[in-house]
Amino acid sequence: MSGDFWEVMQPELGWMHVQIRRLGVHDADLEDVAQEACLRIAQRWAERDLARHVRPWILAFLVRLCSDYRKRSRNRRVHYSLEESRMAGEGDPEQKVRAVEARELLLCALHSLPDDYQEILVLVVLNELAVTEAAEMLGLPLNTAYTRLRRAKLELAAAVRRLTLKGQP
Amino acid sequence: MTAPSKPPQKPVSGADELPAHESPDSVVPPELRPFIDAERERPNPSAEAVERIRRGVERHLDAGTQTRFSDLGEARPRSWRPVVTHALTFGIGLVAGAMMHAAWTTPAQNPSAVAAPTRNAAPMHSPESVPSASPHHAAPPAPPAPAPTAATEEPQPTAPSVIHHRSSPAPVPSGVGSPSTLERERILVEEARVALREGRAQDALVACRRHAQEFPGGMMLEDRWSLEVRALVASGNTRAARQELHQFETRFPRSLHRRSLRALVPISGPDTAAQVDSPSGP
Repeated sequence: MSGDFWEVMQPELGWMHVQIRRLGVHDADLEDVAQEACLRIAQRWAERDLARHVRPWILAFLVRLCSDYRKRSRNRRVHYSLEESRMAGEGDPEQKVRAVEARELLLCALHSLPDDYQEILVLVVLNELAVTEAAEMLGLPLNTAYTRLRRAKLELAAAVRRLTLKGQP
Repeated sequence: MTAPSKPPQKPVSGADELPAHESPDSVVPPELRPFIDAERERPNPSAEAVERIRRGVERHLDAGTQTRFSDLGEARPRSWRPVVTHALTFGIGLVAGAMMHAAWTTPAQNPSAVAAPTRNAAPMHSPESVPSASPHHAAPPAPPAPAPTAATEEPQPTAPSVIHHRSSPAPVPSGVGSPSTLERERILVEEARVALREGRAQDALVACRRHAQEFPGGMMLEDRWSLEVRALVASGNTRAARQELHQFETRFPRSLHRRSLRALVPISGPDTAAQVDSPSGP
């Protein structure tokens, strides 16, 4: 493997893990999917554009891999992981727990949306990519990407509202 | 991707009204903001989890094996190992089945049948006649059909203009997927890429051909193939490029290279076949 592969990829592994989770992969499968993503990236390592940041390039792999994963996976619910709970215990416990709940509720809402909404929301809203970049990554016409993003945001807001109401006593 | 022909549509919902100081793309309705902010600040997994991922990747890279999710879409050339293993198993099974059938349908004449613990009619095969299940001791399958000599006598092209990619995994050198082999593959592909970038299409084709010879079913087949299409276009051989692209798309229908290659290879127009038949040496 190329000498700089791990030099570049090692700091990105944690970030990849987070992205894979956002893209609807089960907790139990996160590491396996991350490994598969790394292997695919390794195969194409020589192709990357050194002038550009590596994250959008990695994200393109993750989006496609996780899309295939979601198509095969029937149970798409995301559960609290032990790791998440452990992190919730560090620092101010109450604040951490609230943050964990907010994150999990958001992911529940996100994963209840159609796949194409999930992808554009993860790319543009959570990773703050430009719509032009996301459109290119997803192979969409730009106007379609804008329309999809706008609808996805509205759907996400509605889903969060539903879950929030459901969680109230 | 080109610049938008018109500005993005204004949000239809008041919830999508954007603060002036923020980028319009990533801004969300106000009620979503705390959730999105929390998610954006999601902590990375533990160092142990990261280390596990790294170790897993290294293990797969070293062993050239596949992960649990290797079958998620296409991404890389299929490994030759399962094919060889299945073929070997199938061959052994065939031979064993044929021998068992022959033994059960003919009267016992083998002296070693005395030692047979079961089935009077089924003679115990002498050790040398029983194919072992273990590949290490497996007798070679039934004698192969007479080899077509014409194929072997055909002169091999010395400098093909187009590298012939196999539609099925061809025998590959042992050690495929090992770090040194992968490194060698990467060097060859990189050589082709650099040559292409510097406008030396012929050198790129030569590097591709060398990769094809050394690693016919290598891990970087897809990369090499896409580079070859680009090199053919760069050398003016659009007809060959188009043919190669067609085969490439058949083999890798979901490749990330597809769109860029399609954009590169003219769909119609004058077919040209430049003199790429004689790259400068192997």
